[in-house]
Formats: sequence, C-alpha cells, structure tokens
Amino acid sequence: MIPREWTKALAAVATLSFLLGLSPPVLAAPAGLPKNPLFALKCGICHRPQKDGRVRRLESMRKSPEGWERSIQRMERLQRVKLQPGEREALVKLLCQSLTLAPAESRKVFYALAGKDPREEIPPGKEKLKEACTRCHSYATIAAQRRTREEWLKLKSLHLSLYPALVYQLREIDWPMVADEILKSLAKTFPFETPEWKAWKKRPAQSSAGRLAGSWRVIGSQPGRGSYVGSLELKPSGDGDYEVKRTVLYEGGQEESWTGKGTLYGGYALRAYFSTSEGRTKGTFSFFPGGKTMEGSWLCMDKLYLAGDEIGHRWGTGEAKVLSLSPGALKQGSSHVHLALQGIHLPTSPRPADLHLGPGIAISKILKASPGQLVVEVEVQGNAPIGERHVTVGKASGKGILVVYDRVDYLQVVPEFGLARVGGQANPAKAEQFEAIAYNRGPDGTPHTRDDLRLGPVKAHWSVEEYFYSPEDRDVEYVGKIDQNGLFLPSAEGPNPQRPFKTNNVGNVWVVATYRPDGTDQELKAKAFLLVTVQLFLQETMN
Amino acid sequence: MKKRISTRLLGIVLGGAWALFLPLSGLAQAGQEWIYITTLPNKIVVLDGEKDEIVREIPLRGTPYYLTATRDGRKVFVITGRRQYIDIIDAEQGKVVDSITLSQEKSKARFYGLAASPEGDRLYINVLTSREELDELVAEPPYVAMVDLKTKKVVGTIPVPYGIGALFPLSQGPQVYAFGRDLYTLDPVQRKIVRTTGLAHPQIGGEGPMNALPFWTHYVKDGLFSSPYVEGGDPVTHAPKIGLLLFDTVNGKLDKIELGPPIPIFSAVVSPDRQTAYGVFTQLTVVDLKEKRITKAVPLQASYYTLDVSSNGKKLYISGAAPEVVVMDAGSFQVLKTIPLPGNTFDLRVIPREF
Amino acid sequence: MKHVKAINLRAQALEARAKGELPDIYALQMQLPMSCSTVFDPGWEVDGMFGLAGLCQPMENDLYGCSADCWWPAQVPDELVNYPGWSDQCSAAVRDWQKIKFIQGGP
Repeated sequence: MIPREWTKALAAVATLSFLLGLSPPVLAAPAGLPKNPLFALKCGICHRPQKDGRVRRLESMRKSPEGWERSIQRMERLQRVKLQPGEREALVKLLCQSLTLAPAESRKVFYALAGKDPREEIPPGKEKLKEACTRCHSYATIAAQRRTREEWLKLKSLHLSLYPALVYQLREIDWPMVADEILKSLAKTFPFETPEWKAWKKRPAQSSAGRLAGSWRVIGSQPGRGSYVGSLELKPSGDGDYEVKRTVLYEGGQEESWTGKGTLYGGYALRAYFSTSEGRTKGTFSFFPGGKTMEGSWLCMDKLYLAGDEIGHRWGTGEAKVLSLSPGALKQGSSHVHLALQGIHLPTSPRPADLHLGPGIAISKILKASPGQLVVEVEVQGNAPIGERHVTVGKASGKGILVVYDRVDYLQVVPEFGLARVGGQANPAKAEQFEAIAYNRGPDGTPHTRDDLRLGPVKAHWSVEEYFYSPEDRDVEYVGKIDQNGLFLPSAEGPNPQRPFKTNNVGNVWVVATYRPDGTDQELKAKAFLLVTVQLFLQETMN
Repeated sequence: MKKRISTRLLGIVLGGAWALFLPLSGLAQAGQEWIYITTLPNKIVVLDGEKDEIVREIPLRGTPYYLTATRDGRKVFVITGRRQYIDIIDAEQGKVVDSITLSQEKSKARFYGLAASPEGDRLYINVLTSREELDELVAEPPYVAMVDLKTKKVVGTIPVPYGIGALFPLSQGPQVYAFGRDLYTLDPVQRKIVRTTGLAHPQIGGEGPMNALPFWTHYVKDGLFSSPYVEGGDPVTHAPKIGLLLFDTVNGKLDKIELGPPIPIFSAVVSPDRQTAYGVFTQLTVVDLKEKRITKAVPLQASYYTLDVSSNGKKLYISGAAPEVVVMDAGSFQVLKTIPLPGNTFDLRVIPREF
Repeated sequence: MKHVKAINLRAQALEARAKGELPDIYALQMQLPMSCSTVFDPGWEVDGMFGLAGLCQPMENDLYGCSADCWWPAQVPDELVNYPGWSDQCSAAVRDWQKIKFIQGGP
C-alpha cells in the first residue's frame, strides 16, 4: 500500500540485497517465518519486521492454507502484487510453516476447508455474530483463523474499507458497534497462542516431511453412490510435495483410480488435485499427529454434487481395526448373508470363533481373508436382539458399524434443507444430491428417539412436489428435475419469459422419497425442503 | 403471454426498440421538467417531461449511482466513479462541466447521500473514508462534508454515525436532516448533531424499531419525503409491519403511516399535492395519505427500485434496476409508455427546468 | 437484542425451524446470507420467508444494484473495490445475461 514507483524501487533493492546477502531491516527474514527471497520480494516491502523481529500483522495471525491463499489473492487483486505461476502456492506453503492452524484447530472447520456447504452449528450465545458476520460468510471463515487481539480488532476497519455498503445492508444492527463487541469476544475465543498450537509447534522438523509417505487404507462414502474402500499412496516428490495415487472400489463394484499432485501445508494439511473423468477434483486431507490416521474429503469442482468423505489408516502403523461393514445393517432372520468387514491389519487366517458380532449372529463360513478385508457368511437368528453391535475379529474391533433390525420403520431425506442453484449456461449450476435413509425405531420401541438405528441409504422413488409459498408460482414446473438416484438437477439460469415478471427458474419445492421395504406392502414416505436459488457470480477459494 | 420468446430474440427486439430512441440532435421542445435516469454503464438518460421521449444522453466518468439537483434544476449532481466523484452537470448544456472528489492517493472518500442547499450554493455530502497505510486499511469516522460549489472546497464537516443515506437541508432554517438508522438533525453552524429522533431506537412505548433504506430519496423540491420502513413488531405479537415514513422538508416534521403486514415496497414518493403516496417494487402501491390506507395495488411487469411524480402530479415515472422506464398515468394507472434504456438503471428524478 | 430479532424475519423462520426440526442446529448457514433481506430490500438468494417471491424479478434487474455497491460481496463481484468494471461488457443484464462473467476465486 505504498506508491507504485516505490514498490518497484524497493523490489529492485530487495532482489539486489538478497543476491548480495545483505539484510537491511526491510528485508530481514521475519522471525518465525523462514528467510525467503520470494517473500522478501513479493510481501516484505510492505510487511516489515517490527522491533521484536516479528513481521507486523502477518506474524500475529494464523490461517488455513485456504485462508492464506485468499489473502494473497486479495493482495494480487488490490495491491498489484504480481505472481508467477506457482508462486502463490509457494508463499502459502511458507506462511503455513509457522502460521497455520494446529491439526486439532483445523479439524473443527475441516468441512469448510474441503469446500462443503457449511451446514453449521453456530455456538449458542453467538446471536450477534450471526447477525453481523454469518449472513455474508460462513462461521468457518472466522473459526479458521487465530489472531492476536489487536489483529482481531483490525477486522472492523478492514470490512468497512473493503465493503463500505455493509452498514447499509446490515442496517437493522449498529454494525460498527456490534463488530467491536464481537471482535473483542473472538479475540478470547480464537487467540493467536493456544495450547494446541504450542503442542503442534513442537512437531518434528520439516525434514521429516516424507513421514506420511506410504500406503493408507481408505474407507469412505459418496452420497448417491454409496460406500467405498481403497488406498491412498503417497510418494514424496520433494519440498513437502507428494505424488498421490488414490484407488477405491465402490460397494456397487465400480473402481476409480486417480493420480494427482499434492502439497503438504504446515506438516499435516495435504491438498491434492486430480483430473478425473468427471472433472478437476480437489482432495483435502488432514493427517492427525502421530502420522497414523487421517480424515479426507474430495469435491469435483466441475460437478459440485460429486463429493465424498473418508478416513484413512496407515499401513504398517497403529493397531488392528475393523473400520466398516458391508452391509452395515442385518435384518433378523436373514440367512447366507455375505458380510464384508473392512479394516486394517486384520488377521489373515482367522477361524469363525475369532469373530464376534454379538448375540444371535452366527458366522458360518470365512470366504476371504486379507489384512484389509474379511468376507464371511453369517446367519442372523429371527430373535437376534435389535440394536448396535460391537464387532471384534481377534484383536481388531469396531464400534457403531453394525446394527441388527427387524423392520424399516421410517425414512429420512437428507439433506433436510437442500440448496441448488440454477445455471449451466454462463454460470455453474449447483445440483443437490439427496439420499433416503432408512431407520429402525431402536430397542426402546419408539421411533424418532435417540436410540433409533440408522440402517443406511435405500433405493427410493424420487419426486418433486409444490411447496406452498406464493399463490400459483408453480415452481415445480420450472426449477428442475430429480432423477431416480435422488440427484436434483436445476434448470438453466437467466430470465424465463414464460414466468410472471420473466422471473428466473428459482423456487422452493418439496423433494419426496417413497420406499417400500422388501417383503412388505407398506409404503414409507419422507420429504425435504429444497430451495432452488439464483446462481453465484463469484466463488472465492473458501467461504 | 404464453408464446415462448427466446431471450436472444427478446434482446434483439428490445435492442431494436432502443435504437429508435438513440440521441436526437439538439433538444426536444422545452418541457416544464426533465426526467433524469442514471443508467449503466456510465450515463444519464434524460427524458423530456412533456413528450416523454429521450432527449439526451450525458456521458459520465463511470457508473452513476444517485442524483439530485439545485431547486431550479440548473445544476444536476450525480454520484459516480465508484462513489468517489460527484459529476456536476449543467442542465442547459447537457454535459458534465465539473466534478468533486475528496479522495486522495492514499485515501478513498466514498459518497453516500448528497443534497444541494436551497440556495444552490452548497452541497452536503455524507462521506465514508478509507485510508491506506503501509500494511493495513483504516476506516475513518464518517462525516457530512459541506462543499462550497464555487470553490469546490470543503468549508466544514459534521461528524455523523454510520448508515446515513439521505440528507435534507430545510428550506426554512439552517438545519440539515440526515436519515440513517435514526433521524439526525445537523446544525451546520455548530457543526454537530443537535437532535436524534429514534427510528432504530423507538421512542414511543409499544412500537418496534424501524428499519429503512433511504437511498432513493435525493429530493430536489420542497415537499414530503417518503420511505418505506419495516417495523420489527409490537411487544405482543412480534409481527412485522410495513409503513411509510413521511418527512416534511419544509418544517422538519416527521410522521409515519402503518400499512400492515409486509407488502413489496422498495421505495416511495409523495405527490406534490401531498395527498397520495406511491410505493414501488413488483407492484405500484397507492396510499391515500388522508385516509392513511392503501387504495390500490397495480401489478408491474418487473421489479423497480424507484419512481417519481411529475410536478403536476399526473404522471408517474418508474425505473431503477430494469433497463427501462415506465411512464404511467397517475389517474388511470395505465402504462402510457415503456421506454427501453441502454443499461440497468439506479435512480430516477424528475428535475424542474426553471431557467 | 430482542428488538433486532423481531425484524429479522429469516432468522425467525430459521429459529422456528431449528426449534422444531433440528434441535441441535442453531442456524443453517449453507452459505446463504441468512436474514439479509427485509421485505423491501431483496436478499440475494432468499427472501425474508425462505422464499424467492420477495426478491427482484428477474434477478438480472437487480444484479448491478448488488455489484456496484458491494451489496453481496461473497456472491457477486463488487465493483466498488474488488472487481471494478465487472459489468462493463453487459449493461442490460436482463437482455445479455449470457455475457456476464463468472469469477472463480483468484485475483
């Protein structure tokens, strides 16, 4: 934010000084931030060290890789910072070495970092924050930052400078006053120094970046397509980068194999990009301290309804575990059921007696056994008690991954509040993938209580019905269509001359699932609200 | 209309219609008033108030926002240039003759609300400033600037709260009223707020806070200023209500009319005889100010931000948002004309031609 | 801030929803700028009652009212500070909406 000509002159000095090995105050490598010529050249001219050696502002805040990326993009946009391809990523990597979230802090906002719709739980008592902040951006945008008090307080001025109309838009509150109040509170909730951060700072040096290398057992699910198992292979390619190979097998039998390039930020946050048959896909992975487990999420940036969540366990480390079962729900009285147990470090030559699935389930045969998977045949007695089962195979165990039920009692459509956006011509459309989840009433015999058993997604019949909002808006005719896999595809954007006011193909409707469980004549029905709204014209890295 | 017309075809049809109204050489016959409409990307389109035809297009430095004028209509002021400039138009010459900015290299001063003094010698502008420092942006406290139109110098400033959207210098008396979350009475001599009338902070027991957006309110003549408000609801039912604020720019008296449950009104205007108020959005809402009730709702073909009334009260000009202006008979509510405009629109004012 | 809450129609609707159907979720944010709209001030994606009838019709008419003033900076490029000139190629959005550029992150 200094005159352009100064910028050029200082850039020249910075380059020269770096080449000569000089470090005048302006160019000194920031304390904490490693000395870096790119930083000195592109950032260091305005972001200078203070007396204590810390770079003013920057070293008083910590952000996710996505958060730093947005900040750098803003500097490119507004401060005329010119970056060559790859330089933005290099700066994000540098900043994340010492100024990012601790893994435990990142975990709470992982959904947003992964680019998911933040269906957020805003903590109770934060009504003002909801009024003043989260109408425009997600709560995760806030919760993915740690700042000193001084830095939190500066956000008021930043917002009033960048978005001066906000005081008019949010006029039912006194925004400047409320902002002060909220920012003081955020300074306490999300301070720069935290116990999690102190602990993470003591992590092994960057030289052990290859420590995540190897093969990972992956278990996950994709709404609309079902669960999958597979592997993630990480091969270091230098400077914290990895070649990533991901191969998964869906429960329906289809295999997908992706290869891509990943960058590790802050020692635990891997961001990988894959070119898949559906389009460019971003993988967001977070490795937990210890390097034995991780959580991951992926999103096809060209088709935003294609997404999945997964967990990973590293081969060769950690204990034996049963991670998932397919099917995960067994009906009383079923016989000759082939049950696949997915896990890691499973015994390779188990006897039926080594498996325990709880009372009323007998293991008749072991069909396949490998360290990652065990396939068995089971018989479920007609009087096997309904409820959740604790599964063990030798020393390996898994909780909450198997239930026994007698019948499907009700359905639930998820998401309960769907959001789709018209598009497909000039702007991306956003489809919404719905699922019908079957439930059993649970051991207490009363449906819609805490002990209800989730039986998993079922193949339902899908339809869209009018949601009464305004008389004769006939939204159902215009907003789009749902397929028999629960995928709602919105109509195109733009004014529609057939509608009153030539209005857009937007509206609100019910999405209805009907399902008849096998062997019954009872039809179950459930519905969810779907808002089909206008397209986005801007999509920032993370919101 | 059931027949489907492709949007592309629609574009060609509208574009063709627009071509018929391209700038005429010279001026049409002098009317009593002109209608100024700010349109994208960077111009003001002027209609003659008698024939309701486009007589001028006045190019500006950038996207125009809101406009006002001196009371004789000789000078027209429009906020433009990313809100950092006021272009001054000489109405007779039909072009920009001067401009005002308070921005400097390291500080951006943006204008939200402006008004000319009754004498036409001074502009009042609400200013929001952002200063660039080496590594941060600093928002400075808002103020109302008093700018001498001869010298273009700021002759004084009055600190004000955030949120002011409209300014009204009283025709009788020195005060300037500023509409924001509340109504503030500014004293230009003492250079301070001398009185605050609560809108967001209700002053009458049992009333809820009011919420208004006074953007389409840059009046030129004396009269009743009107803006819709939403009231948060009374303490018993909490039901929201909509109504009209009425502010008399002659004597500074503020009144309001409750209209009931929310209906689509985006901005409003009062007829010169002070008998009728008109609200506009996806419909035209007609309010009898004596009866204090809605007497008519006229469906419109699109949504519009704003409207104004001819000085004889016989015609309504409806625009803002849609790239067109609708001329409507204020007696029969028949659409007299819909004139396509080159771009989306922001503001529309009927400006007298008393020179 | 009881008095503010009362104005906030969408928040009310949300809270009612939250109380009835989703007891643990205080607010469904979903990148919707919840409760931005009042009846006469259209919200970008949803009006005060979870519908769309209260919005500008069609939205292309209101698009530059949003962009010119950073009214919805997370959904529409703002031309006041961040993306000046975004609307220059298409002045009448309702006619030429196909020309409007989508901005994917980045500078």
